[in-house]
Amino acid sequence: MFANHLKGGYRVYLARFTRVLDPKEDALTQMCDLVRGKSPMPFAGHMFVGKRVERPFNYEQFFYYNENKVVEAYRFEDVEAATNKVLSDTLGKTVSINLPNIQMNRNGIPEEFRQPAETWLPSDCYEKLKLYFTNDTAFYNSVKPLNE
Amino acid sequence: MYLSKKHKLLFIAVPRTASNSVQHALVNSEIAHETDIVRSLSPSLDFNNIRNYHMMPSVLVETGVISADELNELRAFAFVREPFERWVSSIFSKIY
Repeated sequence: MFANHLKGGYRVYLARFTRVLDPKEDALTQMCDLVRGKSPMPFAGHMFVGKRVERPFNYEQFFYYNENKVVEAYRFEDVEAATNKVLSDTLGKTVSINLPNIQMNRNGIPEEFRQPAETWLPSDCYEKLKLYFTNDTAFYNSVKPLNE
Repeated sequence: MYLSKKHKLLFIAVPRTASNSVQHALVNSEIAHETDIVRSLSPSLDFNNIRNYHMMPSVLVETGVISADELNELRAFAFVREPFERWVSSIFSKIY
């Protein structure tokens, strides 16, 4: 079974890519179980079943090629402004579009989970994830907001 | 993934960073051209489709979509999201 291939970071990797929550169960409990590595894995049939995940997600693989940064990084918070900036630069004129909200799932996240994770995630889970996200957090922090 | 060879512009779709919205805007903008290479999410959302949509620079080169030299000549851009926020978004995603 696919879940048996998973160890350590791969569990978290999947949590970041897959629909893992059973809507009939408590969301936070399931999220913590996933982070703490309890079994069974709380996800069912999925497109990733049968596919071995060879390497965990990390931001750098989307921005680097042969150790050289080849992709400009913008913050998610600047998604509309940055898209307009790139389009304006490309076309040589000011472009101002409103991005459509496609699969952004703005209403799908319960309010309690929209708050900073340290305020609702148990400390052991928070610390474990914080450690796991060290490199991605550093990369995110290295990207300056457009208005700075 | 959206590639405009005409405008030498590349958009990399990082998962859970509004990539579908950005790509939709690019495809429907004035820069759109018949020579564009676009990898979109299909309704089936199988593994290969998702992998192709979220192509990384190394995969673009390895699969021959562009050469390493072409990659260096492009203006490429993508988005990053605070990791915890991105994790929560992925967990509550209806899609993946």
